[in-house]
Amino acid sequence: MKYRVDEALCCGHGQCFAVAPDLFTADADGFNVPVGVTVDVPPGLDRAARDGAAACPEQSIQIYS
Amino acid sequence: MTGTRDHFNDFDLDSAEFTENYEEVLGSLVAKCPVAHSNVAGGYYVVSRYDDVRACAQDWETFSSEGGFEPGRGGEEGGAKLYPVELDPPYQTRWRTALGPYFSPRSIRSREASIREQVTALIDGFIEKGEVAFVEDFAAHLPGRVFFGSFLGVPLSELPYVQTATDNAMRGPMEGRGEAWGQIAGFLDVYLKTRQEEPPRDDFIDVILAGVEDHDGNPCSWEHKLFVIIDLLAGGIGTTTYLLAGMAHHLATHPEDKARLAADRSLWPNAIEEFIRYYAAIVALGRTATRDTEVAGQKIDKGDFLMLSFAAAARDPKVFDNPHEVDIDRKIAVNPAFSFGPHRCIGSHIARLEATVALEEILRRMPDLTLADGEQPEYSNSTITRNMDRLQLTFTPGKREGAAS
Repeated sequence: MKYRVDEALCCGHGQCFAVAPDLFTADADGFNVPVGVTVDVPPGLDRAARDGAAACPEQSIQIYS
Repeated sequence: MTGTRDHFNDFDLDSAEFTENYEEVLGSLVAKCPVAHSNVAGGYYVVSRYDDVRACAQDWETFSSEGGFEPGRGGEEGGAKLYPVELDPPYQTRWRTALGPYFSPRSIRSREASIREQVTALIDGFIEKGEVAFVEDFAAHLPGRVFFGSFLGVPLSELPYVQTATDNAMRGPMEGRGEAWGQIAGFLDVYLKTRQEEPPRDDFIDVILAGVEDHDGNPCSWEHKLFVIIDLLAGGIGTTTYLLAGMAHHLATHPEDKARLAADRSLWPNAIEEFIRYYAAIVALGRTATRDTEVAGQKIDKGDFLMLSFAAAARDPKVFDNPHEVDIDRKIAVNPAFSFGPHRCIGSHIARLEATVALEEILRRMPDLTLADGEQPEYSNSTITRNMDRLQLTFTPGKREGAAS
């Protein structure tokens, strides 16, 4: 599984870190990093990726299975 | 049945019965007919519930955008397109990835002062009169001024030409809209060519000029670059016009909400999100099924055309209590008005910023804004969009504030 954070949409609500802290990380301003690139989801974190994507108020996280 | 039409089996986005009974029809689709059918333009389905709209929008492999954004489009080779709206990943993703940084909240923050100047200039145009045709003299102009002036840096002297063309393309008589779009495309073609000769400005025009790889892995054509800039314009103008008009209508008709918003800015983000939900400007956008499938129990065949109704999803009572009311305290977890999935609105934060600045200046300069005597707003639909065409407001006259006015 892979995910990508759309930089145009992420605005630092921080919901993805709240529900999936093992997968998503924040920069100094609370925005998701990295953005605009496709990232491989490490083994065992598929559920975290889905939960984080579902939690985003801006729907900025796309999952590619 | 609403009016004289069976909206479940004979739906039409452009029918007067839909335009005139808008809330009622959307509500009954969500409640009773999650996948309605239309016999117009070769036939299409209308998906209306929040969960179904979201699932279809996220599943771009099953529901392709490349068959066109509205019924009766797509298939024709060589016609004008809107990109990336009418593209699928991975080509669509390349454009989004390239454009994204210039539409992020951090990136657009620097445009706020320029947006405020545009708002000030427009309000200066009518503030001394104590009355305004709000759509004509404000809401229809601000988004174009922001796009061409604040983002593209088009000089004020050229703004009237392209603004008039944009207004004609969006709201003018139907028979003149094609010509107006031609004028806009011509203007943007010249603009892009001019920018190509100039040093980069670190804006989204640089990104469009640089281009990305197309479906075949080749550098994309000049035409595709033009499709992108036209899409960005088309996506941001009429939509934001409707949001601004809807917001002003609510303020003018709900003095208690207006007083609360004037007294407490912390209420603004929720209120603006609610205006975006209720005044969802995009009624629906199209997808083409790439395989046989099923949506909410309705069998869908490969090649069938579906309209995903964001305006209906925004009225799904499973997600929004009392969905046909504007509640400025509503907490909206995800706003369906901006769609879902790879095509979610790239300009959402610009719309929010324009609405925030407009709200601030309206509350400050026209605190007693109200509907003009005997007036009601006039609405229309143009296939994919909901519009407010007329909104007459009155207020206590004030003074001009802009330097240049």
